[in-house]
Amino acid sequence: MSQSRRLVKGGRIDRDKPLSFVFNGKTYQGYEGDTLASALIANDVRVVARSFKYHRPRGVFSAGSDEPNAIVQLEEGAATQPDTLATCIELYDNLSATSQNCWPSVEFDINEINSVFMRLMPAGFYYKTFMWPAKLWMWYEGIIRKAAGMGLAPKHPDPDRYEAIHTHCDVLVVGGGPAGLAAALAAGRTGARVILADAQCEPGGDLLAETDELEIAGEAASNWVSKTLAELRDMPEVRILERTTITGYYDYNWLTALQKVTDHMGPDKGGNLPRQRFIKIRARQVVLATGAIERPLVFAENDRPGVMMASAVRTYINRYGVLPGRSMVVFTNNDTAYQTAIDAVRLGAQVTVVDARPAPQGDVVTRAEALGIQIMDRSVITNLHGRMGVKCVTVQHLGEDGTTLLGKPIPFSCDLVAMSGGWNPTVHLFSQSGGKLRWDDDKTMFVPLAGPAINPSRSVGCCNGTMDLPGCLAEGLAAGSKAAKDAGFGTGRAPKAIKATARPEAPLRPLWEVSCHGHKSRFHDFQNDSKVSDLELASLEGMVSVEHTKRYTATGMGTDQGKTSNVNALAIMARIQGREIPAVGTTTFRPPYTPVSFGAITGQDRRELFEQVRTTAMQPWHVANGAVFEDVGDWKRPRYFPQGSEDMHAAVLRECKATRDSVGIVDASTLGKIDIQGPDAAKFLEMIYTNAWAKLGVGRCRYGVMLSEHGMIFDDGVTTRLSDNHYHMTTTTGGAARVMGWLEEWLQTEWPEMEVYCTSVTEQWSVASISGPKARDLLAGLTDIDLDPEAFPFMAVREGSFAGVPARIFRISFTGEVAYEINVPTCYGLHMWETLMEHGKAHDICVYGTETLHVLRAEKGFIIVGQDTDGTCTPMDVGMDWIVSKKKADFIGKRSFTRSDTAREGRKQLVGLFTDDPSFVLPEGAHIVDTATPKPPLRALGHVTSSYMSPNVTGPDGVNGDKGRSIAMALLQDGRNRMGDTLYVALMDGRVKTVTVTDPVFFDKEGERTHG
Amino acid sequence: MVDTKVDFKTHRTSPLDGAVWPVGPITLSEKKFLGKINIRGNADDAAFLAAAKKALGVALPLAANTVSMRKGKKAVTVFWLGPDEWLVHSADGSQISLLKALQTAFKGLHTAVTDVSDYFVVIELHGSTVHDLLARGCPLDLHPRTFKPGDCAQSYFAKASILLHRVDDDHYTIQVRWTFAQYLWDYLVQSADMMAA
Repeated sequence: MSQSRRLVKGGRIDRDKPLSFVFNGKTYQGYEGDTLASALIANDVRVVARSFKYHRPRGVFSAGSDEPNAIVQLEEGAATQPDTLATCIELYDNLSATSQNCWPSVEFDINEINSVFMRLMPAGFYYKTFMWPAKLWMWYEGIIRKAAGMGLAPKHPDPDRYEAIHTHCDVLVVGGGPAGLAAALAAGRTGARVILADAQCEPGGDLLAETDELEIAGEAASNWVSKTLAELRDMPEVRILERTTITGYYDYNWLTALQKVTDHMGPDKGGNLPRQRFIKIRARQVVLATGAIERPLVFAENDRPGVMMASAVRTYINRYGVLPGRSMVVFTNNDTAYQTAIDAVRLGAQVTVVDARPAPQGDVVTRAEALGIQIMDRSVITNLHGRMGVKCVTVQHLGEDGTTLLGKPIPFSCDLVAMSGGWNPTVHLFSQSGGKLRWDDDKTMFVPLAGPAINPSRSVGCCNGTMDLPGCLAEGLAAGSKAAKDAGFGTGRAPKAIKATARPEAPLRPLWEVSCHGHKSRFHDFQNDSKVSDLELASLEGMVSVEHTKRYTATGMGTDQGKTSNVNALAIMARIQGREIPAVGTTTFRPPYTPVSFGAITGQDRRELFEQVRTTAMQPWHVANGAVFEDVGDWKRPRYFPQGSEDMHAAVLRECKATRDSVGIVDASTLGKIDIQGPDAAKFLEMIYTNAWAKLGVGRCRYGVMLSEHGMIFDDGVTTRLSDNHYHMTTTTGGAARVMGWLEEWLQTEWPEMEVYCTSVTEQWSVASISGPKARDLLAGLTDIDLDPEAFPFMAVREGSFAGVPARIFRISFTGEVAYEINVPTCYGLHMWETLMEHGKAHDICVYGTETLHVLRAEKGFIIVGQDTDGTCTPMDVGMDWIVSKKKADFIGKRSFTRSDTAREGRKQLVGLFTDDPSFVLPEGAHIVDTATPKPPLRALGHVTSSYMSPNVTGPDGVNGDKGRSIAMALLQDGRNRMGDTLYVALMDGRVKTVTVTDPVFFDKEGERTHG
Repeated sequence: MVDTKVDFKTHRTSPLDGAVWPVGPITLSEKKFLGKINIRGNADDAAFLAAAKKALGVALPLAANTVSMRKGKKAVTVFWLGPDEWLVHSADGSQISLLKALQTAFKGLHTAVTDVSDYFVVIELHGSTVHDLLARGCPLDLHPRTFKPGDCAQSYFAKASILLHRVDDDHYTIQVRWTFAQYLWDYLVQSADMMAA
């Protein structure tokens, strides 16, 4: 029968909008306004899932994000979502969901065999059983993962879109129940910018589950909610974020939220809108009105389908128009569950109340009795029958000590148990904000410890331990006003009090676990299948700390993070250890409050927006001419330009040879560039670099090396004196930002008296570097600058025109050839490049990329910082003693040279390597050893830092053919004393290659070509 | 023959090629080839302030995160970037003479004047929901109570460093490094697309 448990009227569902959905292959009907859980209950689907470890049948337990049982796999294919809560899924047409963790079906699950051997699988079972042999753990893990599991991760890329956004407000109100609504109202009326975030599809909180008897401001509570929302919506500075859960509370009142934008519409129904939105909120003040979560009772077989939280039963009745059971036992130790009993009886259910308290009294009890509800006081449920759904419970009297069972067990037939063990304030966000908790003995709950908050926030209503409605409203109004005032709005005086129905409550009787006969399972943590006996075992095995017990028993873990289980577990631990509850302590509340999809956190930062791709002005030419690109930091640089069917090896050999034979051109725009001005600029450079700068003439360039304070090379480049107090510095491509920060740090923190200004100009200039014997001929036709070597020598700069645009031309060389770096403002970069390529044809110009750049500089033994050095290399280590001034009083890193380790002989030093086999290119990073038959343990003497095939170098064997000659650079212990030695390079595949140690300058050792 | 004549305006490219893109109520466009000059100097030095005002025709803004503007033929917008740093936007090509004028005016003072016209690109945004779009990547509070027309701020949008200027209620400019322009543009367009239901 369709929707057999649906009430004929009532609820906030829209009966004019029936929806059809599929659960475990069967089609059901529900209404708009339903959750998947309420629709399943309406259709009398009792077993919804199987438990994590023992595969016990489980049904819907709660009506919110505290749900530990009804966890389902939503939808299929790429859009599938594992581990979603049926209680939080808003029903949409054609929704499809399946039970998780069961095979072949949720009704018959083969792994329920675990349940039979439950006593053999206590806490720590996996750790103990699968410990040995350690090798097999990987295999065991596979089996365990299959048997004890949650949902299945999607196998395909997520088809949905997400966005992450920033927002700001004066007052953030978390939670749209009575306290939150009152706070938003009070704050909003001051004109402050208010955000009211509520997790549900409509604000109202528990008021949505109330009957019209409950009055606020002289009318039904639901009317007051509507009117309040209308007033808030009229305020231009108030925003109501529905379906928005605050997931994390971080320092400086920075909070994160997950907004479910189109989840409730179903897949592909949201148009361009993102599925979810991750909101990063900066709030001046926060009001926490997060409510409270009802505590389960821990009694025998309390996990069976049909055992639900009393407040949830009430929510299903009043909000969703569903009666979860016709024959109901309400098991409670407090007053609140009586409301459930009253509402159920009025709709025709048979209800018995089992109350642990002796002779409960008060208004609600009287009303229940007046309705003819049987109340069994001093009573508890000691056993429960019905594997696939409650059929019967056994009730017994409870002694004064709270554990002794008295009298004869009385059986009661029923199809639903609605339980209430009291309430836990939802203190998660308060705790995350740095707040401490206090155990309140009278209220029997952890409440926020009053006092100055680390982050400006106020807890109000149930999450503050204030459980009565008038109190919630009053606290909300007061906190909203005060928060607004602290944010600079209003007087801080609360608006006139809002009258509301008061429901005075008698005290509860603490009841943390209910005795039973024999070895019955009493679950305190449903999602993790953790029982009282597990806590007892953990204690026996030496777990005293709450943190240890949590991890040993898995209590409080999983997707619900112990929302229903933590406090019960603490109380049971207190009993076992003979301590008071607060002495046991609490575990840490960590974000997120509810699970957040990675997609939402990622937001727009995916695919081409995952990371910026930086390219130079010449990029269109590179692309059009078939460049193969490589990533250099966040830049895309051409690596080589293959012609025809060339592979990289062939292309690079051709590019290397052509550059030394005619002229090569490379896009060098990515180099970092810093403009340095001021009367103390030379003095500053003297400190930053190791060599002398004071006497560098105007118009001249000099290579420099920068050291960290430890004396280790951290960047290098050429700096040019443009005028007396004006320098142009270049840095490595990857080091540009770091060097800029480095210069500013020294100027701002150590030498503020120095008159120097640094301005980054990296992108201002596009740079084409041409080098080779024909470089000068090529340039001669394109510039008005006198290129005569006398007039424009090596290491000089000239300004002039280039191909009709303004240019600075530096005569510097990273290839060892005659070379010019032509700099033009970036808007002319492409023009410069195209002009050079066009005019270069007559000079056999060859465009090359980073790979050839690396080979050419390696032929000359020029280092690349970060490749041939690694942060442990001094200039002396890499053979650049000449660049370290002996005369300067100081420079950064100088003092470190006197440290014993820096000054000692035999450090790793830069050398060249020739392989005996000229055609074998050593892998970079390979280790150098002194034996041809290496066996562990092995002492590595150093490693290969750079390794290439060079067409220009002639080896000791005289080999220099068209196919090239392998050359390598390496850092080698005591390398300079090993020149000519034979050593070995061990490869990953076990082979060993013989090498000869040589000078790292492989080509044109005298440097004649550069000056030519 | 070597052509030594310098032609400033013919051979240029810009990273977004002057793109204009309407998305919902928002229009994005590249403001091509604006002149941009970075100025460093001592704000406590009256001579420096006077010299700057003379060369620019408008005083340097001294309040943090504000701009001062000169309208008309020699229009400039001067952004406060830091206690000793400013940025001048001027018409295409005018930066060459302006750079010289500033250098001349600052003679004898410790300052730095640097042409950064090609270092940065300016994207203009118009439209009623521009604030919402900016919230997709910029962490700043752009509510009119805290960020008014005439205010500017250096911040970031996603992973790009930006200089944001609120020109008017629904009109902003974003200055970004040349090499981040395409990334920022794509990010803005895709984010705006998700706002249009």
